[in-house]
Amino acid sequence: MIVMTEKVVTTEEFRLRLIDLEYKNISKEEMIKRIKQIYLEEYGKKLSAEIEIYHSSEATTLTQDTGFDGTAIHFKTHNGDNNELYVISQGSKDIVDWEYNIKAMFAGKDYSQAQDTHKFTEETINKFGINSKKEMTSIIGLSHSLAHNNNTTAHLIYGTFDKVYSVNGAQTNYYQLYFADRKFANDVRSYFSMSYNNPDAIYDIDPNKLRQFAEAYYKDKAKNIHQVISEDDPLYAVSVARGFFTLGNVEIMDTNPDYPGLRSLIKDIPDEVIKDFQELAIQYTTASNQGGIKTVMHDILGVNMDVVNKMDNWFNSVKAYATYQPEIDTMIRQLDKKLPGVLKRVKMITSNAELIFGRLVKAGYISNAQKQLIVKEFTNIETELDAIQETLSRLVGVRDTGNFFVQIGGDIAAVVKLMGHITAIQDSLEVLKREDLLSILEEIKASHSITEVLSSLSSGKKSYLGTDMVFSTKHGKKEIKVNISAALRMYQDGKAVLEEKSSEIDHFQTAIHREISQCYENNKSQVMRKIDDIEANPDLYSYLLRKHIYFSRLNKKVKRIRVYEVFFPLETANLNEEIHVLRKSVEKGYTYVENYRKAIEDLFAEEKEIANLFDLVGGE
Amino acid sequence: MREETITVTERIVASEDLTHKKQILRGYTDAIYQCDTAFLKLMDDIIVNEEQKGEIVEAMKEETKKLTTYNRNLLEHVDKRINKMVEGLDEQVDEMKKQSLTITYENTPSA
Repeated sequence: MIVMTEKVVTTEEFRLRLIDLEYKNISKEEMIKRIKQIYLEEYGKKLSAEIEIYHSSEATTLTQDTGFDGTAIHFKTHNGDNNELYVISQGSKDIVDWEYNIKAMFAGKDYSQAQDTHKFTEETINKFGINSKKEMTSIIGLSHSLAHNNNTTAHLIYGTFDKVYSVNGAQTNYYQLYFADRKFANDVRSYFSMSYNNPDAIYDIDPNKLRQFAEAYYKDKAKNIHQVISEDDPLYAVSVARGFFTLGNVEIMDTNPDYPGLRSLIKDIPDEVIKDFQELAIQYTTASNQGGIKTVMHDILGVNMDVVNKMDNWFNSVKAYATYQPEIDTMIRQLDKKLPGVLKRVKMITSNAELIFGRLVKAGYISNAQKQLIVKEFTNIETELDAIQETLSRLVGVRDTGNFFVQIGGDIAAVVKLMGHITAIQDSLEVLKREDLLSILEEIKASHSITEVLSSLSSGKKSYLGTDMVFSTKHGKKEIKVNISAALRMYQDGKAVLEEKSSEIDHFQTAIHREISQCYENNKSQVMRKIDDIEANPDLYSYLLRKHIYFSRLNKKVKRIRVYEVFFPLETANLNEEIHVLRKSVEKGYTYVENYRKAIEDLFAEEKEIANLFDLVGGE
Repeated sequence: MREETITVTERIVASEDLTHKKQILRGYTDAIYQCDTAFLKLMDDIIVNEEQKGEIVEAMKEETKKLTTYNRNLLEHVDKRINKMVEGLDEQVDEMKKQSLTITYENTPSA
């Protein structure tokens, strides 16, 4: 297979910014506009290729609900050769993805998103009519996070891509490949003399030997996999767990020099401990983001804190029990169901607390005092969960007797006890939610982001802020940093906003005419019609006479009514002067945009390419 | 039977509150305000290191500040004018609905 060299997207920075765009959930038009601007910033010239976009939400071949989310970007060059098709898969973004993440990575059995990656790419190839000229088009997978696992797995099994580029990816897993790639599985079975009857026998093979076999098996395809990984990325850290193997050309970067990275810290912590810690952390983070501790208590333990909070003393408990018996009943059954799993994970963490949190202290992520606090709160949670389990074992038994009197008596005492334990857990969670502890999580999370990698790619005068490009210049002795992406957006979008303002002023002027002048005229016509009616049918308006003269029903008859109509012209019918000034303010805006451009150009008087960028973006 | 006349001033069309038009017209100035805000927001992140005071940077910031104040004052003035104009309309329309009229009637013997 001949792999073409890309002509359009040729730098790591451009690829990273493209991947980041996929997360923005923007319209196709906006995406095309932004891609053109990024190209302009990165290469200092206009993109000459046409862009076509296709999103997985439009795809007709994706029938399973796997959580796959991807966008295809087709760069069509004018001479028709060297076209490039990028399929950007989105990494973990919600709970469905994270569940998949855990399943795929630790159990290594689910590969449905990799299947969808392949199906979507095939559909896109047909959609864009690339089929007939496949040899002229490079088909490239771009990915971040979980998406690397999808793209690489698809690449290895189905040959979906010519190349795969990834950043901070969830690595491929040889157990996952064993279940997904029949040919690989056959070769593994024959090489390791495995029986066909026991699929789980794969787990009995020495992981090191299996990894070496997988690396050798996929070595040709691995040549076309390129990865950038931050050594501070938490996903990179967990990929030391059994099953993972890193393929391709890998560039490791230190994106957060303040910390040594988690991988070295956890490499000898058993897989099961990492898995339990991660599962609990993800469940906690997702629920906490959705609705704080209350939602955490509900999602993890099945507890309705609104009901629990009503049972703050014995008297209130009895009252609440009478009112909320169905809710309490459901809650207790939920708790009974969810508790064993939670307790197992918490015990796994507490029994390895020294190992896990001790490492974090050593690496400087947390202080010793913070470690002691975390361990203490986790131990408290474990104690309370143990107590809940003990109470529940009796309570659910009592409920199942169906004896109403026993049930009531047994329940109230037990329920009050349960509520005490639940409140204590809530208190411990509140302590763990302390800001300084959360900021550590934020720090760790940031190292998984595309932006941290991008910002570490800064060189010379160019750097990145988020995914924006920043240029620095010396002015006198001072260094001034200008966000060139924002400046170009200001120049381009600023003019669009001013056009919009102009059109809003037109609407305003029309509205003044309609709401004021026209309203006055409508009312005038209404009054004139009324006058005509009064003068034509005076007898119908005898009530007007009756308002001034008393008479019995039949002894006065209205013969005529003459109205002396008076209409003054409307005094303030327009805001012409104000409209004029508003229009002037639009002109001021245009002048301002040009002045701003000139000011930036003055700052970068020595860098001609900056002025050139404005010229190019202005000519859009 | 003798005809008699009486001249009175009467409301001949029911009164209607037109002051809600203030809100309608304010909707348009709000939209203009949104444009101003969106426009100025585009300037927000251009200068990265705020602490770097340079002559040019300062001039740019000063100009942004001036434009912001100018636009805000202008719209405040327009809103006041809207209020005045709508109140004027409301009063004038209400006045117009009251007209002077002469009623000619005849007395008829009671049955």
